[in-house]
Amino acid sequence: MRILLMVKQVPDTNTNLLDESKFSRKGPMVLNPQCEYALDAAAALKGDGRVVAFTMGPSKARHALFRCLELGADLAYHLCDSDFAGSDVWATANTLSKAIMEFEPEFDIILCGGHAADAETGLLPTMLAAALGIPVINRCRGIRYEGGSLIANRERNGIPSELIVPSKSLVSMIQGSNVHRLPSLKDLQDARAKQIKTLDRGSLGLRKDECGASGSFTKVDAVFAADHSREGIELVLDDTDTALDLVIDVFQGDER
Amino acid sequence: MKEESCSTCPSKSACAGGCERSDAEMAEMYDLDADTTEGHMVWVELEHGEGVPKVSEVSLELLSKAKRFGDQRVIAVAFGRESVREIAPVLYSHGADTVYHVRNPSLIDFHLPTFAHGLTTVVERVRPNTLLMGATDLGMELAATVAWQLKVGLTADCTGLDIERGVLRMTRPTFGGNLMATIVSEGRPQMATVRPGAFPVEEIEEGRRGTLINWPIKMVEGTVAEQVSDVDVQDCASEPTELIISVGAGIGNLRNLELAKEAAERLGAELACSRSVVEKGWMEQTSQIGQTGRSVSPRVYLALGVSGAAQHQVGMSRSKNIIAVNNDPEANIHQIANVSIIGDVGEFLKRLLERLDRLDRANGASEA
Amino acid sequence: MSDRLKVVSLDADFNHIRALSGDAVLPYLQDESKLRGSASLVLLPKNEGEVAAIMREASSKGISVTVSAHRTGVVGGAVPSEGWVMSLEGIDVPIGVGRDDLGFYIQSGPCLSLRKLEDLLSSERFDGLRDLTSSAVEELKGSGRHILLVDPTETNASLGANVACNSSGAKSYRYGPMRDWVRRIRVVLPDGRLLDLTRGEHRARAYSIVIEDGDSEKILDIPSHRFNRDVKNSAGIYAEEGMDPIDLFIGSEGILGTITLLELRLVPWRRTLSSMAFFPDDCSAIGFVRALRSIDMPIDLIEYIDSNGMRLVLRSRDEGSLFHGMPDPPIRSPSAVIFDLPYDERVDEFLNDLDGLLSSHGSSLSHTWCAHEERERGRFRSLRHAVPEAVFAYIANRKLSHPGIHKMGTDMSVPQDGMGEMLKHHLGVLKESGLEYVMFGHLGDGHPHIELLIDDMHQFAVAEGVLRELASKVVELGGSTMAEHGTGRLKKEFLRLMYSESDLEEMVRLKKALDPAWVLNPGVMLEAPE
Repeated sequence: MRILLMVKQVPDTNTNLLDESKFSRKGPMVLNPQCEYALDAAAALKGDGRVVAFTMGPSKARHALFRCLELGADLAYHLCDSDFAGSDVWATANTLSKAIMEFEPEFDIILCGGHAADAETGLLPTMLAAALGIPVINRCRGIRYEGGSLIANRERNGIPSELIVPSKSLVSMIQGSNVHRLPSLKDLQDARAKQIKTLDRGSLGLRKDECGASGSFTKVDAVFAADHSREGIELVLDDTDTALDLVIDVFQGDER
Repeated sequence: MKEESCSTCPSKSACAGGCERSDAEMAEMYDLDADTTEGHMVWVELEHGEGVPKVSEVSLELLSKAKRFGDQRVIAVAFGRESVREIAPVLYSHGADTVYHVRNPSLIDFHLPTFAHGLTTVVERVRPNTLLMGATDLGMELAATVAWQLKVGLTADCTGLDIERGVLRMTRPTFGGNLMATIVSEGRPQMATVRPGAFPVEEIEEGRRGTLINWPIKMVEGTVAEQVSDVDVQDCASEPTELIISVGAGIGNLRNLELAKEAAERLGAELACSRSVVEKGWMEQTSQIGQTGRSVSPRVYLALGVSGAAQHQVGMSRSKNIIAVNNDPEANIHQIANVSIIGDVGEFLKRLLERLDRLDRANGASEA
Repeated sequence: MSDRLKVVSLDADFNHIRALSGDAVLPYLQDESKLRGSASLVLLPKNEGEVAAIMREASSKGISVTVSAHRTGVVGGAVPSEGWVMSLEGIDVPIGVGRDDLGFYIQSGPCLSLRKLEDLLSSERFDGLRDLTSSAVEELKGSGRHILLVDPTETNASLGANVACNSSGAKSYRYGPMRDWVRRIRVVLPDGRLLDLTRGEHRARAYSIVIEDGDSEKILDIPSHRFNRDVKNSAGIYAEEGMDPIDLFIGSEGILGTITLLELRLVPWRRTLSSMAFFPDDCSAIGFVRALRSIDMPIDLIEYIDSNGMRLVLRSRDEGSLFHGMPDPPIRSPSAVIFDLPYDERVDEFLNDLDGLLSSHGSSLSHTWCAHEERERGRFRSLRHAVPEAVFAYIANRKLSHPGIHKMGTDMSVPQDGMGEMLKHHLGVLKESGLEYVMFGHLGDGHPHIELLIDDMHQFAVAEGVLRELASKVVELGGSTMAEHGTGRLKKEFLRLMYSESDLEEMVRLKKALDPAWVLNPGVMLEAPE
């Protein structure tokens, strides 16, 4: 199997490090959780083949690629250029598709996570498939070999089904079997011997106005803090009876 | 002598290719930059079953919203066989002025290449100003493919839409729901997918009339995954959960977790949790609510020892009633709760169960 | 440097302090030891002045005050026996940042938790913090991420409690306990007056310190016992000839005064490689720990989990109660050793050395897990907690049928050269007792924890005898019976193994000099004199 893996580095959503005025990039960055599922699936399907990981992002996004190399990828491409900054989903799909067609055009399947934990548009997998002109299967919860075919478990509109994955398609994962995979020191040692190749705008043959913010069709006009707050009442557990009455009433359907 | 003049320029002097006017000047003179697109187009998602297909709620919400923009006509696009005609009145009454019926005898199931091609051809014919669809599993696939083909921007998961002189301002939550971003799009149509439930259906006009346009298309050849089986369909047919008891790190220990389970069983509620409880290994990932878990909007959400990080709020802030029990009065969860109870979760559960015992006994007594 | 400490009096009105009574008191009667006490009132001071007012009122009326924060202790230190609870939960705000010759330090109220401090530091945003020295906040922002080097395991605990108990945690192997990182504290004495102590500003004259209050002065005698610094030790009051008086209040478990403000030193964060190596049996793992200690490698921590401990963890996972998602270890029924190294350019070298070291102890580079990203290291941290958590769950389960049972474990340390003898003795005693047990923890520090898995009251009685036997041996080897958890209310018996009657009398005299009415945390560490 020749597998391409598209990953993204995101802020660790476990830590609350947001600046209300801008997207904060401080604090720990991690491999996007749903990309972990794809990485896991890639390692499981690889067999005698190879896994090549791609990411687009600033220089520290390397760490996300390194994790891929520890956990089964053989080679990684880092699309890194200040001209890529500010890419919207269209520009990202465009840039990634150029890199794939230029450097790894021979593949059997592309795997990626369904949603990124930061921007969460969930559009990239489909758009990248459209850019490459290949079939897409989104919302996969598992993928396996069976009787010579690749079978994906998809849950769409809440309905699970099993699909035969056509050759040369893109599959995005929203769930996986093994979240907590841990590399060994041997994996670390091996990964340090593998290569992360950096690709800049020039090596993809893209014009400046074809990528980054200038190659994007959407612009962020304003960012403001979300306000979920609602009018409420506050009780202390001292008022046991009041509190419990209220809870039980609400549960039994007494709207307040 | 006949004066030669350039057909695109009122200048009397001959230009003969040496025109000194810039592109920008020409554009301004002839208003070439003016936005000539018109209309708000909505992709109508249908749920096919026996007989007449059912229009999904989010499509009606979008038609209604587009109509309330009030500035341009509203165009609905629906895919399917003959029976789709019969839903046109519903679409008119919710705001559609024109319904494009994209049809082909073998068009039943969602077939991404054909749907994307069909929608693209309608867009190219109508040249709408905006193109909206629900942020559903299918809507997202279709939107992404069409946006790529049309080379236009696409904004996902919007919860707010405003139109100002033809410019659509699209607001969406981002970064785990902590932030809202307002986005504008270059090019036309301005495309957005919109979260179901973001806008109400208002001003239904029964008997409102419109125009139905037939738009036959060919099926597009294109590989799609072949379905081998449906899996355990019963599992997914579960009713949306009405009552949820959710535990967070503040549940403290496994004993309290057991109490929470018991309370959930007795109140007929589902037991869910925040991410940290999954990380501890106390509950399954499938029970997790929040950004990396499920999104829910039950009638009652009882949060026990949940701190209410933004990532958790994304998954539950649309609940109708939020009750928070937490001994930290500063916990974020209290800000979004209808009822905040400041106190120890273990104590609370013990007393809640005692109270339920008493109620049971009282009911038992009255029945006897 | 002076041997004279000046005390200050503070003005505050006792009558406006927030108080809880009735059922609202209940959560304050218990801590993680599960010991339960009683109290008539919980007071919630908002500032130092209110703490002083409470102590003034209590000492003049002879009412006991038990100081409480997040109640994560395991020896009952926060469990009141009577009187009032003074909960410092309202004094929990980080205040400012300063910088001196030794680097940056942070100033905070005592009830800020370790976790919140960690979050604050990793956010690298310090909005609302004051400059204690000129433009320190900006300088810290521009100096990369900083951390508190001491790494106590329970991150919900408050900084004040960590200072009061001189906590250590896994990294003390290299960096010592909390004491070494405290720059300054302010302490409200039991009579309500205030001391402000910065390390290095005062020094006892031999064994005495003078406390000045206006015109009057009082001489404080420092106990003359030798405080065991050869091992990790939290037993008794720290004392030393010519000591810095700040050290009297660090590690004395709050019986001499209440910390109302503290300054802790920070160090630059650096990338770390955490590893967990698996071994086919306990002997190999212990041998590896010994080898790791002797090799020239900048190791930050060494933690051990014996095969019983790993089995318990895996069983809890398989039964679905705990650690869901933890992968299978690469060896069946393994023992494990966890260790940290710097993750820098030397890592290839480390890996080569480790390859040989692991292979000669029945393991290999492949038989390990490792983590260097922060999130992954967080998962490792929870793995380190896995054993105590599993033990806790086990005991909680047994408690349902035998309510008298509580956690029976050791917190004892010995000098490195006594390690072999201790292990041999302990394992012999345990085998003979027939009790099930797990051993885990800071083996690198000569400080493994042994937890006994008790099934019924008979075993409980046997276990009490076993723990006494283990403790005697540890003292004989020159170790401490309370390495890091402190004495609290539960381990006073063990204090008698380590100190003579006259040692304890001197500690009582010191406490009595500062707290004549014996109102502050009575029953913790020391018994009240007749």
